[in-house]
Amino acid sequence: MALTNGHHVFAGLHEDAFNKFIKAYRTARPKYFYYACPPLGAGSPGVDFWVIPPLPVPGTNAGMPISVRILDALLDFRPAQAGLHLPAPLVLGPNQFAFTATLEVCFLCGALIAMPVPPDDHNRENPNSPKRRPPQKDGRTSRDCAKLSVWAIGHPVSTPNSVGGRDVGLHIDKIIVKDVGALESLIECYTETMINSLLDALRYPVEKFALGSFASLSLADGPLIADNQLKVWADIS
Amino acid sequence: MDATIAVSEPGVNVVLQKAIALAHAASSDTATWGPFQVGYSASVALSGGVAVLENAPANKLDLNNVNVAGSVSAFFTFDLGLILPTICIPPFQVCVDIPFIGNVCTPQFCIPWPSVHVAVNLPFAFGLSASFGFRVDDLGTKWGIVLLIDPFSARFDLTPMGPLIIAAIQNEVSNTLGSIPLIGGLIAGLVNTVIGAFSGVLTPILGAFSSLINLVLSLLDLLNVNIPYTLLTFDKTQTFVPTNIPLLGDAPVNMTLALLQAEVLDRELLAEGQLA
Amino acid sequence: MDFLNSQHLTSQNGFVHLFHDAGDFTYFASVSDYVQCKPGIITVQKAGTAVGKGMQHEVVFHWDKSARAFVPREEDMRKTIQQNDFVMFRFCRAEPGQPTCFILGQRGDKVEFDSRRLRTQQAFTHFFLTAGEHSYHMGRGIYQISVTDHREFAVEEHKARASDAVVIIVNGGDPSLKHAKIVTGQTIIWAVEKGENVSIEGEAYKPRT
Repeated sequence: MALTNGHHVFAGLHEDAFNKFIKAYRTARPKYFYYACPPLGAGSPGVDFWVIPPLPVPGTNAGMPISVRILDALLDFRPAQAGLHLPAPLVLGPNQFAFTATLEVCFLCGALIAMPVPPDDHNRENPNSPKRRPPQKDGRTSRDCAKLSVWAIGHPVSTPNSVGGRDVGLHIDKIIVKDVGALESLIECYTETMINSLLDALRYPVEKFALGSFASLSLADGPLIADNQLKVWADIS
Repeated sequence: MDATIAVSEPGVNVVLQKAIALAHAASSDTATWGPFQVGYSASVALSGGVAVLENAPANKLDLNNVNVAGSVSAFFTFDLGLILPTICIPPFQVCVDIPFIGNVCTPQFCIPWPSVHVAVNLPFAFGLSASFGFRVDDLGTKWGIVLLIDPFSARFDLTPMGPLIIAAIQNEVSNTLGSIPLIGGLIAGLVNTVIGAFSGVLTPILGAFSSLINLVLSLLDLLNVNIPYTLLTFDKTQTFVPTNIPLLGDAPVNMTLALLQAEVLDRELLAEGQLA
Repeated sequence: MDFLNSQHLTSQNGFVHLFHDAGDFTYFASVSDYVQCKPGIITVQKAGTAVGKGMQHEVVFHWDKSARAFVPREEDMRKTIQQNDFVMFRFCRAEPGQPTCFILGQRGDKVEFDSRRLRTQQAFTHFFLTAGEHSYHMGRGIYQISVTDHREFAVEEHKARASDAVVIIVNGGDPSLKHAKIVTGQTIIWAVEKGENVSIEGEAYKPRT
């Protein structure tokens, strides 16, 4: 059966290529996989990790250093690999991919970092009250971390780009983070938003998808996930 | 394989048509046959043609009925003095009586035949079919899917040019001789003498035109049997995300296309690559 | 275009000299006064022929490229004619690059005739090949010749016209016809009835377009 299916060009990238791509991305731009507030974070800020502000502590103008790190991330195109066990209600349907990752979240417990006061926090300082230092623990800090397992399913998308063509990319539809108790829906919402913005940075134009020089390609069909590949069809003009 | 790219037969035709539209070449030469000096140039352009893919193990592309169109511009120079007999005019005696000298008969004037220049433009067109083999070549920073043409012989017939050239020579010689008085009745015969001399060298002249056309065809990259024609290229370093996108300072995300294989399957050109 | 000048003879010209006296004459066609050529000989025998009743004889020159000289035919090298016969000196087919010349005749050391200085009982002929308007001067006067292209006539009419040579009689440096009207392929003969040092020098030429 002809791969081009009535069009000029067919291009299919195997899930192996995507997973190599994710590794290559991590190597070239580590900061997209590691978000930390100093003194958390290893290596050069802005290069090895993305600098984020501390997690605010209510009642203070200070926050606790936090880091979020994506330890491993794997894409699985339909049909599912043997070892993939998606937790309910996730099911890998037609034209979908599965995304699994392990997130490590750490706090630097015992450390409080002053934060800038938001401009309209509705708090009125009393100039006469004695200055009170925020409560500290006994001066010792400890780095406490937790690992979260993330499962997600999504589908491929094509969006118009700034040069009149289309970009092909991936978008998460549903995410499950287990073992976080009552915080599950909050953390899932947060993680889905985070991973979608990461995936958005990974999209690229159809011409580059076909890897070669074809003069000008326009997306005719797809993107479609099947047979462990992300497939697109294009016509040469 | 990490990546699979297939190009359908119509897709291959689109890519080839872009190459064919760019294919034009020209060349020129001069030579002398008897009294006829000829300067000639040929230019050629390709159009049309239908590509058909032959599945592995043949892995071939057959290009049928490409239209080869062009023209030969020729400039003929010949000295009529080397071709025509001596003719003196007037062909009758003119005598007049001058009392103090005698019956004076005026001298005949023997015509110094001039050189003639004839310029003629000779269009031609013929169909060409050829077969190409596929190969993946390492082009340094890229992989190329290249075509290499099997030896071919272009078949075309230039004999229709003969009458056009003869008519042009007849016309120019008639005009040239027409300006000479008192040979009116002889002109047809003199033109025939020139054409008779030319007919003897017409075949080798057309042969030289054919050779030039074949030479010009070989100047076209697509039709050169010694130089592979690059149909498609694939960068070895594939930039999946460019530098500074989305943030300034972001390094490019590159992967290397370490290997590329190509064959024809299901009448599609199939290329498979391995990324590293 | 026609080059009309009796002092510089081309293959379109003829020069006629009537031999009044008996004797031996040498002649040659020369390119310049400084070049010597092998002369031909004309022996004029005494005869009782009246002027105007003599025979025409011909001496034909051709340009020898290797010798770079005008050479008469073998049979012209020695000619015997009668008193009052005349010789038409002319040329056969022109060679490319052939120069113009003049014809000189001598009896002993004395110059007997020089085509550059026409005199009594001599003539200069010119065969007109191209259409146009010629003007020439002779002595102090300027005269016209209008030449019409043969293609403006029917073949038979043109042939009839070309069958006649036009004679311009020159007396004391004045031509009998001030404005000659002829066709291409026709010859004009300037015949000097009485005169010395006559020459026909073409001045302006306008081609007929």
